[in-house]
Amino acid sequence: MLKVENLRKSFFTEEIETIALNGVSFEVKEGEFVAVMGPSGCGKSTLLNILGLLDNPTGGSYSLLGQEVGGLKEKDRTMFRKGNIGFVFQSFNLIDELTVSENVELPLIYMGVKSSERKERVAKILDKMNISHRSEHFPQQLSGGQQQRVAIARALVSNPKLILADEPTGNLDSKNGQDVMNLLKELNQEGTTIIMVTHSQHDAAFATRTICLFDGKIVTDVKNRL
Amino acid sequence: MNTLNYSIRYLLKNRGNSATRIISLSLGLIVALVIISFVGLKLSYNSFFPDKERIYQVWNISPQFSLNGVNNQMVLPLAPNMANDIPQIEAATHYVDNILQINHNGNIIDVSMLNVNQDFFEVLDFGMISGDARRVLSEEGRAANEVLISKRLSDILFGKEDPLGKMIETTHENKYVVGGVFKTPPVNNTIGQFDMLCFIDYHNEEYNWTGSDLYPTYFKLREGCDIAEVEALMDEFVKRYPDYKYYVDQWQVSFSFIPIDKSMFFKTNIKQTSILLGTIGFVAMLIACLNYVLLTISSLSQRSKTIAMLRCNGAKRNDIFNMLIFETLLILFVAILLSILIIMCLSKEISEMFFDVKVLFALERIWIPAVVCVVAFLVAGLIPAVIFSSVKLHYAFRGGFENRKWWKKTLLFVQISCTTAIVIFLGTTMRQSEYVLTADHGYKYDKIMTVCIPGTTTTQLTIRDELLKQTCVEDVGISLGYPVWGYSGNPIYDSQWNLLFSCRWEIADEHYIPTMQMKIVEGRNYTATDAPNKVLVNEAFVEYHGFTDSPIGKVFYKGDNGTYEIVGVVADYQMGDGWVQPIVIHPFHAYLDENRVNTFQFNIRMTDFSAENIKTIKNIIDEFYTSAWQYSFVTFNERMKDNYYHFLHLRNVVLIAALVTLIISLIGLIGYLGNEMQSRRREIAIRKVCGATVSEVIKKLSLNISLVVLPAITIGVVAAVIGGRYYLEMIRTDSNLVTSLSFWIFLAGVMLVLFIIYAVNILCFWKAANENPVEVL
Repeated sequence: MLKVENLRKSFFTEEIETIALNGVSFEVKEGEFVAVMGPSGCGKSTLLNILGLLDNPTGGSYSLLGQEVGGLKEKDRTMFRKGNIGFVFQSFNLIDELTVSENVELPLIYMGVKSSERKERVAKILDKMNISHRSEHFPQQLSGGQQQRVAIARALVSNPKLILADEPTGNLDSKNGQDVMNLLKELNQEGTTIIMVTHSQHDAAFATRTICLFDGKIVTDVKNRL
Repeated sequence: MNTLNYSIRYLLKNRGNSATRIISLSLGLIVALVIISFVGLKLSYNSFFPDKERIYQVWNISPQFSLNGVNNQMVLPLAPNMANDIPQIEAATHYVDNILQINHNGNIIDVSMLNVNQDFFEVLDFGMISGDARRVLSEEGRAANEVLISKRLSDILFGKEDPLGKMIETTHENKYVVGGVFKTPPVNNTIGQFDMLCFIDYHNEEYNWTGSDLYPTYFKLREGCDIAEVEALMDEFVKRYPDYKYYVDQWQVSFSFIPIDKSMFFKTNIKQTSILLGTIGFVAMLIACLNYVLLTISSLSQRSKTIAMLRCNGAKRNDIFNMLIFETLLILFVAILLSILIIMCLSKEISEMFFDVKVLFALERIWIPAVVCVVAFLVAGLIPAVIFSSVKLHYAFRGGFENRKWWKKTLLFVQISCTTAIVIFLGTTMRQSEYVLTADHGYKYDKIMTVCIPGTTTTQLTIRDELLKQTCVEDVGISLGYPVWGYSGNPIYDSQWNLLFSCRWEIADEHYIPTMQMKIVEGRNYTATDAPNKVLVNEAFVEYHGFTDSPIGKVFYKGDNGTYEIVGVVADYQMGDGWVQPIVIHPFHAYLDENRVNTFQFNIRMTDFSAENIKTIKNIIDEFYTSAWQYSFVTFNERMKDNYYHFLHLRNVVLIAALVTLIISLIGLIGYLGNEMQSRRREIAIRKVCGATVSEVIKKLSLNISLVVLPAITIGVVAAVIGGRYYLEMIRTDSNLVTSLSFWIFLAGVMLVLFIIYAVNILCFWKAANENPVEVL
């Protein structure tokens, strides 16, 4: 599915260079559920952004679906993201002015999917996420758990090959958090590859593999016992 | 006190936002203050006269008068006889104006002198400073060559010295003795800026009831009398003077007595122009105020938490309201100071276009700028204060307000509508002002230089013939006036001496028609050897007279018992502001008189207006010129621009207003978009994460603003159609030279506004659309 080798990322502020990722190498196979853990500032989110083609690495290589994508330009990254990668954020990042179904529909619009097909796919995914009764509500009218389910529905609606989740339960209570993790697990069991950044050992236990980062380097990479 | 403190701190901390609000408000205030004060000045004409409610101007109304059927110039005997015969009239006066040239320390000063009767100050009390006006304005004063002068002329000629008894000498070596000084006439008087008054000569040939209607006439009612009583007595009055009755009956004249403070509406378009200008000034102010409101509301998202904290800590709604009101007061105060400063810096330009800036601050009209500022404060201050103070706490903590977006879009909508309307209206005024100069007037004037040459007809013919010998001169035509001046009228009769119609009367030599390149459509031009009664007429004359077959060789009759024979018909040409009237062009050689000095205009068609050519013709004129009058060259083009100044003036005012409103609206638009960009950064980032490209993001955001822009522009177009039609109809009351609303101007105006809005929109959102979503999310 993806492979990174000697991945490096530095941030420059005036004369200071901050190294976020320092020679990270790993491979993720199709159908894996990988949890990325580590203390704050270890480079987890930076890694996720690079894997999600939201950012470019400073060095190293990144191959996704058999294509080298580490040096792609912004426009090409956008094109590559479409339909291939879905994102789930800690703060949900739903657009307040759009209804639930409109939020979920968003990736399909940018993929150029026809309106009738969009409606069908949105209805289907909302149904799957058990949120279809809220389809015409606005995000502010939903609970945190419901909002995260909408965000997951949006990430899934384009049938991406890879789901990237950045602390998906960070803003949820334990019950809603548990629901979301069950959902992700379910998706993974259906064949979706998931990479999840988390601080929570409990959430990481849902993954099939855990990578720990420290100071921009991988310190452990272990398969979880299920 | 805390409120004051918070407001000042906020304004100082957010200098950029404060400066933007101050500058945009100042720009609008400058335009509004100047234009609305200008309109106020126009509407206040003659309102300074004591007892103005008892002073009336006499108008004659007749369907046979040209244009709007009104004549405001009366015959000479009317004023003294109305005062004598009608007991309700306390005093009556009239005037005729002249220009004198005074030689002062080697400089020639043009001075406007009015010939008036003894009752002038009884009716039109401009205010005397020294001297006995009744004695100077009498036979006794006239015999002693005494005049009254204005304080302004006294200061110019005599400085601080007492002018009484001092001598004034004209370039014609006429000597006048200063018998008194009157106050300098205020700018808002319809008579104009005159500087000398002398007694009118009642013993000249113009003292008759049937012609020479040159005298604007005013009277003052006795206290307690009603104008209806005078109206009721007019029939009886007219009957006492058979010549006048003949004139009144023949021309179906009725009398109208106009209160003096309404007399400036002699031309109907003055009132309409005032309405138009007032609207433009008001719109400029409205846009500036709404822009202020827009920028203030746009800052709400940043300030909402501060306001919420103030409320949590005990501030009442009133406190927030007062804080915002105080903030607006502070900004408005600085904006007013800045406006005054800029107005003072632009005083030269403003005085050329509107008025001396002192007029703006004149005590009697200071209420006008004061009202403008109060209205600006009410509009700009109240709306944000009400919105800020009515915010609900839970919304404030979340950085938003229930109706903020609705307010912002409404304000933007109004701004864009007004701007579109003004920009398109500017296009219409530009088209009209261009049209009056470039339309076919019936003559060609591009290469014509004009000069007024007083002298005997022999001298004038000699100068003409000498000029014709010069290579730089293509032709020279002598005429009594210029078409743009209009002409005095004469009654035309049939062979039974029944009045047919009134026609204009021009006197011109045989070179005039070819010089002006007027077209002869039938017959021929007269020659210098033709009999003096052989004349040219225009097409309108033929139509009015009702000739059914060729008019060539036909005769007509004029009020002086003269019989005239038509030798040619000239194609109609535009006179005055652009109207066609029947006209007779009478040969110059009918007026040859070796013993009399006449004033005629020379129309010199030149190869070009180079300094060398001007010098050549000046040398020729100087060689034969005998008058003390200092002549000057004026191109016909300049005369046309002077004549159509009101079109050009309105265009320039609209141009300034349009530029200012455009700038203000741009500031508002940038503020709005900046705020939108800030509040939608997250949304943009989410869209990008969901696969949107930069162009898709910009397209989406542009589509959002289109929902405001397109309806606003539509409303602006409708307003521009209404305004444009009103403007063109207004011109049509006084002129034939009226253009039409142009689809292309509307299209260009709309495209310009759209281009600016979307260019600014794309520039503003480009940065946001290119931001790395990682940093935002």
